[in-house]
Amino acid sequence: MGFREHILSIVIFLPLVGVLLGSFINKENKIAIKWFTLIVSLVEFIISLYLVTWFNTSSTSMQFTEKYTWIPAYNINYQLGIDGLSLLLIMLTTFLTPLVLLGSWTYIKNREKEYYLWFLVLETGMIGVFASLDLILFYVFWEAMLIPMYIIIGVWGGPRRIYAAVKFFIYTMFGSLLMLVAIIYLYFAYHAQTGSYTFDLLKLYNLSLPLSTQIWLFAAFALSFAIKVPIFPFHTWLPDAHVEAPTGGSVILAGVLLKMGTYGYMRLAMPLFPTAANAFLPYIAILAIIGIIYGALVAMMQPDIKKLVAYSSVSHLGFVMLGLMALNIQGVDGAVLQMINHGLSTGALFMLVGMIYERRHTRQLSEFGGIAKTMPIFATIFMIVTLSSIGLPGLNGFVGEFLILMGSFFAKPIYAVFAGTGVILGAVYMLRTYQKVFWGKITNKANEELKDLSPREIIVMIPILIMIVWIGVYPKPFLNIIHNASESYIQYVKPSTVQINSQQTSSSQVLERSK
Amino acid sequence: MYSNVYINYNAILPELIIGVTLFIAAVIDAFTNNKKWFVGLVTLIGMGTGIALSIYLWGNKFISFSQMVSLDEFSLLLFITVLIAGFITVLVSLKYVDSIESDAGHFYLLLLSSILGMMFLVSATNLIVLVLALELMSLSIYPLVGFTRDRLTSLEGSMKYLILGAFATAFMLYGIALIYSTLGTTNFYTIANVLATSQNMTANIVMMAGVAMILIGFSFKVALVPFHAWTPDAYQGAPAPITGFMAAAVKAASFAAIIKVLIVVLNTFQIPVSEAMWWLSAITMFLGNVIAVVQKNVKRMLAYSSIAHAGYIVVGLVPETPYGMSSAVFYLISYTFTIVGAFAIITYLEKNDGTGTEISDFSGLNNTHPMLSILMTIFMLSLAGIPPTAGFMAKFYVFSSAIKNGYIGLAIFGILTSVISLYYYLRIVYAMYFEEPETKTTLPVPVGISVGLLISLWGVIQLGILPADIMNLAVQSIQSLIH
Repeated sequence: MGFREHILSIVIFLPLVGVLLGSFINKENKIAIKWFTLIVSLVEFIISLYLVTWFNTSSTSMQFTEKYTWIPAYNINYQLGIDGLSLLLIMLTTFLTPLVLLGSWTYIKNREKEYYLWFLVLETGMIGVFASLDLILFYVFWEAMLIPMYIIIGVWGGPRRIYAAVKFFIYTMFGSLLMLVAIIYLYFAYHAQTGSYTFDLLKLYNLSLPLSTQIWLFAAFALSFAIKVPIFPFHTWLPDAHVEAPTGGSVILAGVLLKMGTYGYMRLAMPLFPTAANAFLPYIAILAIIGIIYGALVAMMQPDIKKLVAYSSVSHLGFVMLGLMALNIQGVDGAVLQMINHGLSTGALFMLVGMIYERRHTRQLSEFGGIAKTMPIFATIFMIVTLSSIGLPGLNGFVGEFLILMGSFFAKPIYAVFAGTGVILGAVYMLRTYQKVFWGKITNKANEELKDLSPREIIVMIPILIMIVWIGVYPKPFLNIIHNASESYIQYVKPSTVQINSQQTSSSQVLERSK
Repeated sequence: MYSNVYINYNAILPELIIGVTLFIAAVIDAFTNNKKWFVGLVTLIGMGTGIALSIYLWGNKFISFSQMVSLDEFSLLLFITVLIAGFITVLVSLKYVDSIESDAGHFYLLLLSSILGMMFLVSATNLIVLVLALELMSLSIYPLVGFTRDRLTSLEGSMKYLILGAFATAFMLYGIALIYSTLGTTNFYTIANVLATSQNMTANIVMMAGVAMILIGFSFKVALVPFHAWTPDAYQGAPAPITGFMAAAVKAASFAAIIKVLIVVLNTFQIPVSEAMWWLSAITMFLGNVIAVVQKNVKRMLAYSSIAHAGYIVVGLVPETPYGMSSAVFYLISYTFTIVGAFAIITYLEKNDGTGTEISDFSGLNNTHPMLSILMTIFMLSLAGIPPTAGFMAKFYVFSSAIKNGYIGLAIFGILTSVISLYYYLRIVYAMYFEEPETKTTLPVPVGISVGLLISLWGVIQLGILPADIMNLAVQSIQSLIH
């Protein structure tokens, strides 16, 4: 029973233990609940730091593995393990959760106890998804995580919260149930080939199924994750969910939940069915590019800041998908880094929008203008985050987007050309928004007496700003963590010979790729 | 053939316990005027003893009374299931029965006799015993459905159930007569032997008709579409604890009888049962879930949902493999725990005039009773098949047995229908959490209901997180039928 041997289980279930203890706190004692949940999430973060310090960046296998029999008849195991990809996403989760909890202290004014406890339940679910190596265990966490999010949107959300919550739940559930069928089919297909039953992801990687089967299985997985990412045209749940969710919900939704889609592609859909993945690859890449441009264009038209940020997520996640589809080290490294970047900068944007909403109870662009004068600290932080989001060199967004564009250029230059316009459009809508909100004269009297950020709000933002600058200036430690995970992803997915690509790409492009 | 002509009372020991309890309870009921909870207590003790005895007898196998009944792991597991359902139902009903004006002790007696019927139903190895047991079960349930005599809906439900139930029995009896006319026996094992040795039995139209009629009779009892018409009215009209009991125990026992007939009797009979069940299950899953979406009354909604669940259970029977059958048994157990729990909460909300079970009555339940709403959420998630609850594991087992045997289309179809079901299960959840209460009821939750809820919660979580043990029991029970 060593701490080190069970660290993943501890990280997964510590928040849940917090929920059990926290449920004994009287619900009228709001201060105790806030502090208790904050401390639990901070302890969680500190424990998760051990993962980073003990993580071996030169190892190519899964680390901190745990394996216990769960349902022997089906050979389902409680099997955990992480590589660099999971590690960073787990860190992102444990990093954002305390900030979200602290950031909600004044925003949430009813049923506080439930709110904070549901967030801890959510944290357990999210980390479980990233740490599971058994498909059924993965599925259990994947589904179980929906319920807290559903409740968070539905109870503490905006006016159309119930519609948004139900839409969110049914959309994601639809996709994941098809995935469940595919998981079970895969299980029997593995038995047909090898004579043994397993849901062990690492063993299933070695399966080679005929293309006709792979296509269906890949389609089921890909659809489920496409809804989660969301890839155009499966994104329609996202603006509703984001806009209606309370600030904390939006931050976690954008910061972590969307990454489960891209994580699913990288961990499951692509490496499990490489042949089908290669066949679908150009289409997914094109959808990703459509998402980049479409998301940006729609964001540009939004009168509501929160909706604007929501659509910008569609655009940013398009970049991540494009990077994954590039199948070269630059693209994939960039994609993983961009997952983290998007979590930080979009999470920060949602928090900032929430802070201004708390003061003015509106998010309409037209209601603002010139508030840089009344809220200088807010304006400064918003500027840094905006620049990070549009990818200014020296901040985190640049590193990710640059790597992705480079990778996609190596894969197919035309991809990079179109995706590049997304960067420009991103700058257009973000800067225009910034200008409308902060500069000019104060036209609306309500804006004249806005209070600047409180110390608590500044404390919430500072860790994110530090990370934004750190990744922007010195991304090497992050890329080191990512590297082996990216390599093995490419190794699984990339066809070893030119068997498939010969049909689709000309020889010059194959040459291009081999550089 | 008839080697076991001697009478071995061990073969009906659990049934005897319930029978004796029924007798004692009847005497006590006759000599007490109020204090009906005492009758309930005796019932609980009897059922508890029955459960304990069934666990104790695990591993034994007796066939006795001239091969009329058998006691094996299959019947024992089903005894435990229906007894637990009955146990929780009695706990939940204690307050309810006391609140009825009339002398209501016979509520427990009827419950006991219906359980006695169920126990004989799952242990029957002769078609005649099967029908007798089915009737004992059904005739005890009809009056329970109409228990609140001053309520028209209750009587309507009872009447419909009675008439359609009588139809079902008529079908079955006719089917049995046809089989008897062909084979000259009603003994399960003899029929199976004749079927195994004789050629071309499938060409025998009389035999085919007989089997079909028996299956139709069962389809009525478990409410497969298109034989489901009685269900919504009976479920809505019955007192809430009885609705839960019907959904759990009556369904479990009837399904168990189907499974037993399929395995023991029709195992070697090459008829397209599988194909018929494919269609029945697909239509049932679809219609049950779709019609449930538009319901406003929770009891009626759960009635349609229970129809849909019958469809999911049939998915486990379609492949006609031992593993599929075991997964159906597992499904029955998990559904029992879940639905009895859900109806325990509905019992608490239901008023004596039958109102209080609309979806709007759940509004804001979280404000007044956070524990009840958490439990109801868990039960709804289990019905919807979301992990980590019993319902997920049950669906997982059932669908994986279908996929394993190549019924991928049925599995995908079933899973799509369960997406529809999410909508109405979540409606209850969002009524409880997202809506404000219309009237605040702050009546204390009766102890009986609390204990019943704890038992069902334990079942739902145990089967959801550590399903392996119970699944093992299900597999053993099916194996005990195959020998």
